[in-house]
Amino acid sequence: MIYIQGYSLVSARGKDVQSTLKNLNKAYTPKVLTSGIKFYAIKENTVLPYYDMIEKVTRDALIDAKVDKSDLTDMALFIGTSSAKLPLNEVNVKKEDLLLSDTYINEITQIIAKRIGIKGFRTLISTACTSSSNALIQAKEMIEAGLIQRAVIVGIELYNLFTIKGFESFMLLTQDTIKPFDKNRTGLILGEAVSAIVLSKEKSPFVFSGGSIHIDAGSITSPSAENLEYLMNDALQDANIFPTDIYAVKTHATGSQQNDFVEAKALHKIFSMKMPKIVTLKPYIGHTMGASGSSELALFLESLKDGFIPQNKQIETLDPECNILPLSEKTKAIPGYYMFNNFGFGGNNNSFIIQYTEL
Amino acid sequence: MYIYATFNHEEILTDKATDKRPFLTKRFNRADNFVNLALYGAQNCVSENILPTNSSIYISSTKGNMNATLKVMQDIHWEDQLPRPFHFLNSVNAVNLFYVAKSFNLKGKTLFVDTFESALPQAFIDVSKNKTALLGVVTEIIEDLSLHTIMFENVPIEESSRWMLLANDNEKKKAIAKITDIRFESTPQKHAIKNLFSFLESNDKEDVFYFNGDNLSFQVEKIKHI
Repeated sequence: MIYIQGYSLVSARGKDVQSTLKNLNKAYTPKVLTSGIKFYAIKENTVLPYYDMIEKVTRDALIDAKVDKSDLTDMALFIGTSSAKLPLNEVNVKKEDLLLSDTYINEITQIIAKRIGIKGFRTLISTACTSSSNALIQAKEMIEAGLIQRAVIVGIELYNLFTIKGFESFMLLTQDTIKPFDKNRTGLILGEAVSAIVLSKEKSPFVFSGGSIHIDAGSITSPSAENLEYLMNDALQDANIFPTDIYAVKTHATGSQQNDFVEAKALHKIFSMKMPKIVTLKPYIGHTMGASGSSELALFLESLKDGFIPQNKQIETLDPECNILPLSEKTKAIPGYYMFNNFGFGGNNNSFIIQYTEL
Repeated sequence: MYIYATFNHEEILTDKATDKRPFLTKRFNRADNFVNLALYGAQNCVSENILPTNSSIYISSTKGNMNATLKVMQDIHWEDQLPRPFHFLNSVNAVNLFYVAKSFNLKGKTLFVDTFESALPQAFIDVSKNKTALLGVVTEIIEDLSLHTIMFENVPIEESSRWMLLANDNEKKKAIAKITDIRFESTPQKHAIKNLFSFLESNDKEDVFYFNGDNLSFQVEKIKHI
């Protein structure tokens, strides 16, 4: 079995995973950029230069996992990011008259591995919003196969206009708040985060039970309910469990009309017997794109460790077409299986399952 | 892990890149140079083979779709306007995978990764689960060659799309070569990927190739069919 040994997170809501969780119940207003677009920005007093930030968060997770120097010899590094070096290039645009001055994305893993002393396999996975969650599933499979012993998976998404303007061009951003599954949902708000998860075969309360990655080549921008159903079923099969075993689902739930609707439709099909508790985390930290998989997982795990399942604000108007009510009351975390959905542009979707156990 | 087919496209450019569209068996309206370059390599590698729907696709590229990225950057930073949606989409690495998957009607795992060396061990996992994996290494040039020269000094102006079809032992099909002894340690050699593909398509007497790339080494042995 593959276990989660440690994790870390820096988000708009906190300088670490503990403060992010603590701040969830406090009022928060996303930053308004000069263009009027809302954005979940990491607080200025927490921001570090690009590589320093990634190194810090990676080290935090390794410390949390109690990894010592000798473990780094066979530690693998997986980086999941959609924007990769775009934040660096945008800083350089202001200095030089060159739009792309820093192009080799493989340097990110080289630099971080060298700074930390990671000697094993390294990869950077870039599949839009599923980057870090795909990296988690890949790392789990490589450990299981015995190809690597342990891995640190780092999700990175830092402020860049490229992504914000790209989403704006698709009219996917809301001026309102993120309201997943609400009838009056009008879109998403992007955010920045860096998070890291450490996986190995050493026992911990969190088992990485299974996962599945599938392409939906029907539409570039929106998955179909049938394919999401297939995906979630495959993840359940990989974990060797049944839909009725799932206690809660961390949905992808961006707050966009179409994607929330198809996710809801697929959830109703899979969980026709009994709908598990539904959790949405993007209203708290924004849609952190390639980092969303590892960031939302880190936040969820911290909440479980604290004894609770993350609750959501009460839905304002139930959308009868979705017919999904996210959990709005503080609910005790119990040992069991938790599903995590992540969908992305290009039909790149995944679903994975974590078992929370009492050691 | 066995290699069942390869395709090795490489073009040194002095003028603009060749239009790959006329050579594609399946074309897509919104596909740009990077996507077409990937499709050209993938379609030629797969050729007459029929891929199972759960096959995996790995596209590795150290620089990704630079032309689409440049167009979006130009719109935002020089023209102070919103990018054109399809330029933005094509700049998203996962979208390149979408077109290749659509070309073969696949619904398996698709990953865009930074290097060939990081893709191969991941494809190995899929193959060990009896899946087929299509792995490509795609490098495009910047359409504006003068800009390309400024950005990549002392690097040949060359685009390439190198692909291999990987699967487990299959009695019904003849494999070209077998990959063994995968290790995450190496003394990197220059042009390791180029040399690997040249070895695979050559008819030389050499039967074994030792790949030494960035943090990855493995052995490739050609299979003789009598």
